[in-house]
This record gives sequence, C-alpha cells and structure tokens, in this order.
Amino acid sequence: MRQVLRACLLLILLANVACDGDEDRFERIAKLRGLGLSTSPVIASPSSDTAPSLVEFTFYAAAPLGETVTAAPYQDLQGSLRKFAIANFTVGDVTYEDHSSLRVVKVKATGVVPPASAIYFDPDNGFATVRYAISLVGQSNTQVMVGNLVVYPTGSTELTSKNNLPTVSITNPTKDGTVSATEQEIKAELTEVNDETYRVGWFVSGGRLEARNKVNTTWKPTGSGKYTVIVTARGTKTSAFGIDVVDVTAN
Amino acid sequence: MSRVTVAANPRANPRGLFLLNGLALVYLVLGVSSSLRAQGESSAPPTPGVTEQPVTTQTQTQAESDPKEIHLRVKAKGSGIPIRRVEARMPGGKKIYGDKEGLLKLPLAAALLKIELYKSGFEVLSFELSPSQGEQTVYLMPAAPSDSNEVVVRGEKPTEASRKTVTTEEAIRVAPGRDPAQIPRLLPGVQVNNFRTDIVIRGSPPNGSLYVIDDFQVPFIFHSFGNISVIPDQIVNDVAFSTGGFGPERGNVTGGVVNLRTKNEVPERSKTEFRVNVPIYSTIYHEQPVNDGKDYVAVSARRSYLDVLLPPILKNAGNMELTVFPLFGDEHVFYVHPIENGVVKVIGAHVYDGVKLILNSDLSTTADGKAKFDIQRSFELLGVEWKKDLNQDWSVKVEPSLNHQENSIDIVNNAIDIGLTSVALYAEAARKLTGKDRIYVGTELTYGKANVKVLAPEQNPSDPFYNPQSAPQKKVEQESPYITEALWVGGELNFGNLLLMPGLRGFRFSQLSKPGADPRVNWRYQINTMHSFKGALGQYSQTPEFSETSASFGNPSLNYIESRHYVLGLETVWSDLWISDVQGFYKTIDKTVQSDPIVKVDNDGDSFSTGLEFFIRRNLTERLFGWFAYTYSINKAREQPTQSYHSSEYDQTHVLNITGSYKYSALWTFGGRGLFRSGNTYNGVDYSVYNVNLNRYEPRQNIGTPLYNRREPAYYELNLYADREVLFDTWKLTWRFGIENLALKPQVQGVNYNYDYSKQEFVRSVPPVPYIEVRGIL
Repeated sequence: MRQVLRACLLLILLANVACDGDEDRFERIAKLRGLGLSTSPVIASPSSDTAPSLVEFTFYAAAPLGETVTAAPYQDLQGSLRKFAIANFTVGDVTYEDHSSLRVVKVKATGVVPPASAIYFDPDNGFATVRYAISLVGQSNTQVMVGNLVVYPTGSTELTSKNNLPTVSITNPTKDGTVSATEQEIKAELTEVNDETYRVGWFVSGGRLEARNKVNTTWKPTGSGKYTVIVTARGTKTSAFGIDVVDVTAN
Repeated sequence: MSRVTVAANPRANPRGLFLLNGLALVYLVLGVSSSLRAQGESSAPPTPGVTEQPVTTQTQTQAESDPKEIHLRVKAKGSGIPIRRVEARMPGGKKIYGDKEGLLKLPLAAALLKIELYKSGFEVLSFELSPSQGEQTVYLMPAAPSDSNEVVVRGEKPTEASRKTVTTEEAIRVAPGRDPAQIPRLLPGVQVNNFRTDIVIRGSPPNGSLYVIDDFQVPFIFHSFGNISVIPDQIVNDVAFSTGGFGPERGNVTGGVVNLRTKNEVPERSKTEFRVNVPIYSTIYHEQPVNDGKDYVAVSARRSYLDVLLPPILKNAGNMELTVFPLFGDEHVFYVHPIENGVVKVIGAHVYDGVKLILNSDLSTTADGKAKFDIQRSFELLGVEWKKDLNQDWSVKVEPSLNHQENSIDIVNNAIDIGLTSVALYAEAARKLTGKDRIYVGTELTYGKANVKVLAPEQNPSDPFYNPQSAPQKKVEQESPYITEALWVGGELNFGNLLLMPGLRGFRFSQLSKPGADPRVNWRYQINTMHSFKGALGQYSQTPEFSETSASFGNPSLNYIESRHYVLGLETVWSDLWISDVQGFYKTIDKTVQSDPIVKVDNDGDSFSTGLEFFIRRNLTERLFGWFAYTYSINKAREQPTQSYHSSEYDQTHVLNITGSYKYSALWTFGGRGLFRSGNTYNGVDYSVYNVNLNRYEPRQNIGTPLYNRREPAYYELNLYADREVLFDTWKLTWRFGIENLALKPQVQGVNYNYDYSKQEFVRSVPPVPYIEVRGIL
C-alpha cells in the first residue's frame, strides 16, 4: 500500500506541475499526437480452439496538415505487470481526414485474443488484459500508442452488457461556427454507457484550455484564424471510446 | 551500534508563549503563561563585575516581618523566578544566605549600606539597601557566558560500543524546527530529502527504521507537516538514535532506531505553556506535581488550523482550482509515579495528520475534471511502563500497551482503509554479574487484528514508472488477526579493556508463519584513556509489508528481508571539549521484495550500502558547541540476482552537516546549520508512450538502462540565526533574526517533465527566506 500511495502522490506532482508554455500544453496539437483508440468489440472474449477471437482496432491520432504517417506494430515490454500481448497484430491502412487546421489520422489494425489458458484472469475482478501497441512515424516525430484490451471469459454477461460505445459531440462551438478570438466557452455532450465513468479529453490546434479534462471548459485561442477542436471520451473500465471534431473560425 | 542520546538539560525550561516561523516575515507573540518554576542551580562560578547596568525595582508589600529585619526577595530578571540560596555580602565580610524561595532576611542595620548579591550564573548586583519596611524585590541579570572551557552538561556514558550524545539544550538551539526528534537528520549515516519527513539510515528505505516512544512502537514519529515530532518536546528527556548494529532488544527493522525517551523527574512546580504559531498551529501544555509532589501529570494538546482558515479564504478568492486542507494534531496525557528504585509511567497519545486536496487533475475519471485526494492517518497509544531495580542484582521493566492505527487513503477512485488494533507487551529483566558484567533477557509480544478494506490497483514494486491507473483494481475486505513474538538474550561482558555485548533475538510473525533468529554482537576495546576501538556485527530481519504478504495483492509465501551489518570504528576523546568518531560500515539487505509476473511479488532483490562516517564534536560549554558530521557512502541495488547492481534510490554519496551555536553575551546568541549533499538519484526518461486508456503519456527507459541512472546536481543550504534577548523584570522577549535556505542560487530538489516527457527541468527550492521570530516568555 505504501508503494501505491507513493506512486499516486508522484502522479499528482507530475500531473499538475508542468512546463507551461503553450507549445508544451497537453491539449495543443503541434506535432503527431495520439488521440485514442476504438476497438470492435469494446471488450473481447478469449479465442477458443476452433474460433479465434478477432478484434478490430482503430487508432486515432492528430498531425499538422500535410503530414504523412506510417504505422507498424510495436512491442511495449514495460509498464505492465504481466506481459500478455495481443496475438497476430497486423497493421492495416492509414487514412487521413483533413480539417481546417489539423489532420486526423486513422490507422486500422487487427489482432487475435490469445486463448484463456495463455492469459491471466484476475480472480478478484474476473477479467484479463492483453497488451497492444503501435508505432506511428511522422515527418518530425514518432508516436508510440499503447493500451490494454479488456477480456472477459466466454459467456460472461459483461460481453453483452458492457460492449457499447459512448457518444460524445461538441455542442459549443458548432461545426464551422465562429468563436471569440480571446476566450470561448466550449461544451460537449456525453452519453455514458457500460455503467462506467469517462475520461474526457479536449485537443485544439492552438491556444490553451482552462481544464482539458472537463466536459465544459474555457478555451483561449491565440488570435483570429481557423482552428480545429477535438473532444474525446474513454471509459475508465472498458476504454470504450468516442470522438468528435469541429472546425471553427475565431474573430 | 551507532547510537545517539539527546539528554535533558534541566536548565532549558522555557515557559509561556513563543512563535515558530512558517512562511511570513514577522510573527507576533500573543498570550499569557502562568508558569512559576524555580531555576536550577548553575555549575558555573560567580562572575565578578557587571557588563550591564542592573535595574533594581522595589516593591513594598504588607508581608509580615521582624521590624528589625529587611526582607529582600531576589528574582531572576527576564523570568521573575525566585533565586534560591542567594549570597548577600555586607561590609565587614558578613554573609547571609537566602532561602529556596529567594527570600533574604537582612538586619535593619544593613540599610543604607552597600550590599552585594552573588549567585552563580548571574551578575553581581551591588546596591544600597533601603531601610523601608516591607518586602523589597531586586532582579539579577544573567551573567555573560564565561570563557572557561568547562563542559556544562555531560551525557550519560554509553554502554554500547558506539553512541553519540547530544543534549536537549543543544538540540533546541540547532535542530530543524527546534525539535529534538529532528536531531538525527544532522548526524552521520543519515540521508535527508526535502520532500520527506522520515529519514534514510545507511541506505535502508524509510520503512526500514523503527520509531519508538519509551519502548512503545509507533507507526510514525513526525507529522507530515510543520516539521514537528508527534510528542511535545517538554516531556522528552532525550533521543536515543541508532544507525545500526544495535542490540537484540529491537527487531523487525534493517535500518536504525529512533527512540524518544520521556522524563522521569517530578518537577517542583506546575507549569502551563501556550505556543501560538500563526497561521499554522497552537499548542497548550500543562504539567502539575500531584500526590503531595511525589508524582506528576502532564497534558498537552496541539492542533493545526489551516483546514479551518483556508476554506473561507479560498472561497472568497474565487474560482480556485486547487484546495488543500492539511491537518495535524496530537493530544497526550503523561503520568509519572516514582517508586522506590524505579518508576511507573503511563502515557496516552492520540496523533493524527492528513491532507485533503481537490483539484483539476489529469488523474480525474469524471467529466468535471476534478480529482479528490484524501489521505489521513492516526494512531492511539495507551502504555504503562514499570521499571524497578528489585535488588542489587536484578532490574526489570514491564511495558504493556494498547495500540490502534488507522490509515485511510482515498485517491481518485481508489480507496485503502487499514485499521490495526493490538495489545502488546515489552518486558526485559537484567541481572548484574560480577563487576560491571550483566546479562538480560526480554520478550516482545503483540496480538492484533487488522481490518482491511481496499479498492486499489495491483502493485509493481520493480517498475519505477509504475502507473497504478493502468493496473487492474482489486477489492479486498478482510479481518486478519496477527501475532508477533520475539525473545532475546544479551549481555555486557568485560574482559579487561574489552567490553563484549553479544545478543541473540528469536522471532516469529504470523504473516509469514515461520520463525527466525538474528545473532548480533557489539564490542568496544579501550586502547587507552583516549582511544576506543569498537565494532558490531549482526543480522537484522524485517517482515515484508502487510500488503505484500496478502493473497490478493502479494504473495503469502514471502520470506523475511534480511540485513547484515558490519561496523568498525575508532572513538577518540581528545579532551574534555573534543570528541571524534570515525566509523566504516558495510550493510547488505537481501531478499527484498520485487515484482514477479507469476506470483505477483517475490524476494528476488538485494542491495548493499558501504561507507565511512566522520563525526567531530565540540562539547557544550557556556559559549560554544557544535559538530561536524560527514558521510561518504555507496548504495547499490538490483531487482534480480542475475542483474548487475545499479545506484539505489537512496544513494547520496556525500552528506556533510556542520552545526553550531555561539553565545556571544548574556543576551546575544548566534548559530546555524549547513548542509551539503550529493544530488538524489532518479530514473532518466529515454522516451514516452501515449496510453490510449488513460489519455496520458507514460515514461520509458531504453531496454537495458539501469534504474536510478541519473543524478540531480549537488544540493547545499545554509540556515543562520541570531538571538537577542530583551529582559524585563518578570518576562522577556527573544528576537530571532534568521535566514533559511541560503544558497548562491535556488537548489535542485527534484525533476519535472512536460506532458510527453520530451523536455526535462529541475524543480528548484524557494529563494532564501529571511524571517524574524519573536518569542515572549512570561
């Protein structure tokens, strides 16, 4: 317990005391950056002898307009107590969705959940986790994205009750709307599912946010011009993921 | 075997109000004390002459007196305490002595004659006695410190092979926060970190050391805030400090022992003391002789009030993103009943501290972006200490106690509540053999029950970048009884100039269900009157943490962590004034608990610590005292036996402490502390990864990079002060002008990174803090 406390207190310090120029703010997209991941299904079952449990991954990232990205599987050997990895992890197409100030990058991948005998189901929680990781290489930096996929035993009720995606949409400002160039309230509407709470994350192409993890917060653009605003939400237990992007003009 | 005792100085008895400096520049003292206490005898000879013009006041009372007598009440200036046995010299050489209440009865014939009053420790007062009836009062000024090099207080001669003695008066002058319990931080073998109140002893982690109050174990001895110990210094007699190589009477630690020992003597008078520290905390203390002066009782209460003051201030300050409510306090009851050839003491304590934070945080798991952190801890102790010399040969002590601890941690969506209730017995019997030889046997028994409620992530002790947020949570609710048993035998055997102290401690802890034994030996060889060659050798075992042996979070098959201490030293008494102590040490800690992918944790790791310690001390005289303490050490660790050693988390290669105090005159004292240490080690970040589950970046090292591979720059600070006393008849003001954290530039205290660890910067200390502290003692 002492180690948990120390780790948490260290996280508090690191999370809240940071270099504070706009370029260094978490929400500011100035280079290739990860945004999140959506999986289908949200939570999976282990493979059986006859039927592999296939999972489709969609990695979301953001990059400056015009930046091209290549993707490859990655092996992350740290940060996890047990190193059970997704099997047959194959990276597919990289597609781009250009907005006024940013490029949203989508990378498809597939993987197979190992069989139950090859992974560890925590007796207290009833589920296992398997690790996945991908490396995105841009023109100026590399972004490694890692995470854990939740796996429940075959036949678990969670495989149906917790396999939903949340919806998150930006309600203010509106798509292609006009905002104040000095300060603007931004809001999102979040539909929570799977009986869990959600981590909200905002990203902007410029300026700074009062609180990047509040569903309603204040944004200060850097001046007049075009901006792209992104909101994400991910479940704290299943990592079920939602994303929305709007382009606005600041006057 | 390296042991320090901070002994009481009966002259150091402040009373009334005083103020401790916090953050502001000036603190004003308010309050009243109703203390009356006779001042102790001084061993210094009378000082002829005066350096300041004495002020004599006269008061007339309706005291009954012989019409042929003049009653003169003699008191100390600055306190108004009657001075006992003052000597009055009259022309012709006649001497008259006052009583213990400071009353001199002088013949009427002495009126209009020049009288001189003498008392050791005070300036001679020469004046003309008024012939008026009624009681007159005069005040003697304290004498300037003499230039004699006579040592003022001698600590008890150590019986163990190695012990350093520091008096309470010295501790109050130079200890951080004037707290005697902080003295170990200034001694060799000890590492200090700015963000921790606990200490690291010879490379052992902070939880590797034991804290006791009069043989009663306590979970912590320092509050988390304010740099103060959990027990009021008014009842502390001394601090016994071992950096290792201690005897078999202490166990379940690999590092050292800090023992706050309370007083045995019954005070002559009652005393009440208020302390006000604005804006942090207040203290009230009262001690009272009872049972016709045979016993005494003391009570104290101390509480912070930031948690009361801050909310309305922050509320009015608008949309505060960060709210912090630190809280600490303690209450004590202390009863001392001397018996024939012994003492019975009862101590009751309730200690608590904690902090609540509410802030916008990346750790938030809710859409409002806020995270709450609530960390509270407390303990209660009720102990009885019975010590007695049964006869010329046998002495015993029996110390039963009731203990209760609570630790409550509520961080984001994790919660840990642990309550421990136990009954303990500590007992030891000693028998004198021929000459100075003696043997002793003892036992320590604890029966307890732990109530555990946990909703927390798995642990990963081997991963320096362990992120509890990404680990699966575990929910555990259980009640677990536990028993700890220990039995020891030891001796002090003299063979000519050789003092040999062998010992053996056997123990068993129900957590591990297996017994153990720790053999130990200390020795001291008196080479001549100046030099002593000393050493220690022994095994010191410790149980893993409770959570590490639990089935849910850990591994019930763990073994004891085992440490072996090897110490050699040379102690030299150069003169009455100067003592030096040079020690070399080597310590191994085996079977440390590390992560394991199969069984969660296992005893796979080990570490070692080796070094040299130099201690040079100038004993306390009226003017000057201080010491120089330097430690050179190498501290290495590894997580698996197949790995190479790397620098440990607790590796400060050089630690230098210089401390001292100089009494320039009766009214001026100068002092200070200087610290230089190597920078702390830390884990360098080679790159980072983006965790899609948490929406945050996590640091990584390249494969093969050893842990704690980088070191912060060296750290130093200087703390200086000057005390000026302003004496009035019955009260005094003490002004302290000081400066803390003095350095040529802000010193590095930690490392910080930007959001994706692509940039690193050092966290630096606050600029030097000048302060003025005013203390009024009435």
